[in-house]
Amino acid sequence: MTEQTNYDVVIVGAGIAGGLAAYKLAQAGKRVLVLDGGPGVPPNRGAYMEKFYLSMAKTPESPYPDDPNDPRPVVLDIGSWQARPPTGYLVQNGPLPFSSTYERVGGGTTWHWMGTSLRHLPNDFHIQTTYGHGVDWPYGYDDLQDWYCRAEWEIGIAADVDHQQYHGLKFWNPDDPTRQQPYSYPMPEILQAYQDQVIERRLGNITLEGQQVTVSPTPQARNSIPFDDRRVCAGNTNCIPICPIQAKYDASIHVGKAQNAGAEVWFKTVVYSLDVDTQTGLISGVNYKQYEDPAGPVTQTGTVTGNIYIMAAHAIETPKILLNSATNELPGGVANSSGQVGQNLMDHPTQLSWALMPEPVWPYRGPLSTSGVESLRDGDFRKEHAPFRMEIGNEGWNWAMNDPWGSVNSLVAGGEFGATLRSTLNGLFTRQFRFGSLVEQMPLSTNRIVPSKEYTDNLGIPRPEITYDLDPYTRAGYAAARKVAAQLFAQMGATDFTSPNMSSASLFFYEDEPYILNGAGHVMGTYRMGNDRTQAVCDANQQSFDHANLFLLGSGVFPSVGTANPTLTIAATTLKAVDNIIKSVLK
Amino acid sequence: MSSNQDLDNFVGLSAILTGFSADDLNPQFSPQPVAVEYLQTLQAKVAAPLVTQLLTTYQTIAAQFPAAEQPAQVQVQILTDPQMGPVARNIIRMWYLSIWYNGYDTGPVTGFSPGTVVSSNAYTKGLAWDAMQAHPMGYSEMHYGYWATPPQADDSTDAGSSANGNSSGGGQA
Repeated sequence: MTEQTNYDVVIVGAGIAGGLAAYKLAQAGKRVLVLDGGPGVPPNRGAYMEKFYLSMAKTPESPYPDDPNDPRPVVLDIGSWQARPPTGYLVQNGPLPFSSTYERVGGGTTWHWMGTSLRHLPNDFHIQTTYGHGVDWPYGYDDLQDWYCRAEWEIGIAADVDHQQYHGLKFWNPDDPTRQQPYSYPMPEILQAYQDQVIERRLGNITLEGQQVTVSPTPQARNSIPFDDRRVCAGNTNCIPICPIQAKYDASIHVGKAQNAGAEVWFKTVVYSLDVDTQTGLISGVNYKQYEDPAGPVTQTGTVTGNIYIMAAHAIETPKILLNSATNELPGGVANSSGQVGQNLMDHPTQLSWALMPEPVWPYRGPLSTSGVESLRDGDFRKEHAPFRMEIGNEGWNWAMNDPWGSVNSLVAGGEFGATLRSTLNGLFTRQFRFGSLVEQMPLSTNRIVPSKEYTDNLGIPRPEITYDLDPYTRAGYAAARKVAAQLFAQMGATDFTSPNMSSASLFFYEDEPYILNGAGHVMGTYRMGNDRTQAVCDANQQSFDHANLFLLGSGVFPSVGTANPTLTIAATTLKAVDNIIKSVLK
Repeated sequence: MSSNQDLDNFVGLSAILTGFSADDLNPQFSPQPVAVEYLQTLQAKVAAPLVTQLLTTYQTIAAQFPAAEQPAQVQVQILTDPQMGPVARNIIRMWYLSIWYNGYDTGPVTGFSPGTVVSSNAYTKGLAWDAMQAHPMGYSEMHYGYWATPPQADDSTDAGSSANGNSSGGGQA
């Protein structure tokens, strides 16, 4: 055992929350240590690209190391989620498989995020008050607006404010207390794909659920002009699993900036529990295991100490560590007097609908998504069913039907070859498009992650055990998303090919209709913030109610999840929380 | 080792199987000719007598029939043959998807079947991407904004030229 001390702040996790926090704290002159279980950020992405090229299944995880000492869930495990012993890292109890994955490498899951950087809508912050569903945030949109702006400049978002002012979204210069001065994103918006233009033209004027349906350019964390010493997007159509040229932001950027500002980062250092001083109730140390060889033995165990502790290890790993810290004095685990740690696990269950346009739309070109239908993210219908945003994919039926691999194989198996095969494929591939509708999921105390009592990982640390289902309100939103997609296809004259695979391990029903559950990669809600310490794990400053020197970052703090992809809101809430730490806690 | 004649026969057969011209499949000046990799893969994965039978059957067709009649002869003599047919279909898959699928001769092959990506060089030259007039996912030689306009006109019916959508500088809008 070794003990290291004298840090102002010890941060667990080198993803976007930990990276941003470390950067801001180091910039403020604080002594910062970051611990991360994964391998460090590689000097270039050549090895990741090579692994991606050679992978049979180009899953989100395919470029990244499969290290036994640093395991993570992969989508190829979902089909066998019921197997015992588990074939994958997660121990899944069902009744539905939790279908989102994450990376445990320096930079975290932003290595394979889409880059979509929407803000939550004003109504997303008080859905219980306004619509009678879900849970309100402890603050509103206006309280986060300035931090959204700062996050957008920190990450580098390409968007035009004029195209983002829907559903009550307002933008103002964060340095203007009167909220009158206009705000601009740091880069012009990314050009919309040709396909988006066809969809917009063919939709014409259509109203659904009382909303005019419009196609909006998506705010994206990818460069439309050179920004932050990174080049512009070249349209590799590969944001997930990996941008080959880092035109898309990933958190390895802020991990590097934090190191340049003086933060220490220890990789291959897996945190498994926190210590609590029973006299003061303060966190008194972070316990870790280190390895050298990613498949080899533990080379060192130890405890690090600091004045402030920040958990930023991801919405499954953070509650795993907090709950794994249970002692006789704290049998429910650390920070868990509310009992909420690990509960309310949420995703944006994603309804895929796919179709063929009567004319070519030229997919598989450009960023993976450049536009969406945001019209049904808010409205009075939220009293009846969950809202959703419709992401327009630029990858044809790649996600929906595993193309090009799926169609090439089925046509070859059907006997096609030569010029006919080529022209059939051309006619098919060039007309493919899909909607991916990200549905707001409601928090359920029964949807939870606990450390498994039965299964441990390679280092002897309990693996995450997950219980997961969709509530009726969320299912109704899923069904509404499917219905709307079909209506939009009909409006456009497109042929709907959506058909649920009835033998899928992700099959579920709503009002007797079958649906396939897809994960969005958005893992949220498992250590939520709130004003009531009996119902939340941390307060609006993301400070633990139980331990004054413990702060929690990441999408685990979201009390409800709206329909915006979570990364931008992770960044905004992180900057807000860290600003408070610098100004009020470590002053 | 493959002789030049083997390579010529392999490329000629592959052109009929894939619908791409021999020049598309094996450009005269290519630093990393994927046709050579694919032939080597074929020779490594399939018994030598069957490979020889496949290539000589094609050679005979090429010698005996005018170009316009060769696809029909390849269909009758090779694709419907119980031994050569499955190999030929795996060659099509290899050209389009850069993958050699296992078990091609024992059961159905789907997009989820096991196999091996021949090489990263091969991945970036898969014909599926050309057939869609796009580029390999993760390997674009285009520039910002090309996606806002259609690619160059489809030339897939013009056997004499490449259908490679990458060759354009892109319609930057």
